[in-house]
Amino acid sequence: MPISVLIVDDSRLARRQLQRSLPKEWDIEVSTAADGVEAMAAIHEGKGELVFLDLTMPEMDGYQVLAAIKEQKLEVTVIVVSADVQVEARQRVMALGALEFIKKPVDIEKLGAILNQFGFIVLA
Amino acid sequence: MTIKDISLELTEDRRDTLQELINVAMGRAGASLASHMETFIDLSVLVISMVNRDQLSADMSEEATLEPSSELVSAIRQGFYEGSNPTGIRGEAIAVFGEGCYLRLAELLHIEKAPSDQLERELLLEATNTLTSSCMNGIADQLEVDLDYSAPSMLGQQVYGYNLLDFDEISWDFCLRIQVHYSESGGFMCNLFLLMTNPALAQLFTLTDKLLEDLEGDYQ
Repeated sequence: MPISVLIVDDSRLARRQLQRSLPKEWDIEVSTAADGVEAMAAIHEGKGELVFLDLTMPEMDGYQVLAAIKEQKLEVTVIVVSADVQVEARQRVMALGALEFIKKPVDIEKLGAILNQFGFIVLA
Repeated sequence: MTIKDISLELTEDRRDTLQELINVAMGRAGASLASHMETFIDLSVLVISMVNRDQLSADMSEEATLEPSSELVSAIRQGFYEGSNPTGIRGEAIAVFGEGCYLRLAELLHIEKAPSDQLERELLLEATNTLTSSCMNGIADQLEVDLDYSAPSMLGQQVYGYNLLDFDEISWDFCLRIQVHYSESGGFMCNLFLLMTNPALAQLFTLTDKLLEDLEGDYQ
């Protein structure tokens, strides 16, 4: 049963780069969202078991999405992918319930290691 | 403004790609600056646009004025270019600092010297070098090019913004302008303008187009 993966970022370049970074062996269904509002809608439709979340987006940013997920007690795993790598940003997202924080541009090996660590390698 | 060559159009895709490249570059620059200066730096990319000569002069003087309101600014220019590729990307960075910004810099860097024009020059030249290269290197890395930088030089010290750019000195008709804003809770603030014109601009767009195209196909 494929895992639904949701990529949330307002930049098309970033969405594509992340999608390319996902392990090829994965049994997944990928959806995308360009801002927090679209992201929440997709999550409510069951498209986001695993969410890759950017922080700076119009309409509703990554922090607001994390807060909403926490408040609504949604069963979603969130990995924040961001260009803002200051310590404070990382602390904020971890406190809001993110599983991990990785910086852009995404390092494929690092991503693989993190997913492995949390048991996310699913072979078809 | 007429854009004569279609390949120089700032399309949505190009703007999106540039925005993302700068976000990543700024993220890295901000983190290293923050640890260097032991403070939190706020970064934002304000504008990416094509401007013509007249517009640039006007905009610079308007937007050069920083908040809290400050009429006098000090500005420094620094060139960037691909040393090993004469037809590569090249352009100009102009960093605009508000009055007294250098005093906050001195504080952040634990420099205990009396305020002076000389100290302002030293600190702002150094800051420009750091801000420009950290931002441009981040972009260059992602485009896989190597950049070199000319020595920064004062454009104006404690002058009104509208005196910054001598209209006659600008020989091009239009350029790409990227405006990045750095600020910090203790009052340090800088507006950094990155300017690129043809033929380097065509080269930049070639690289950004390729970056996005290489990812085409199965990806959304």
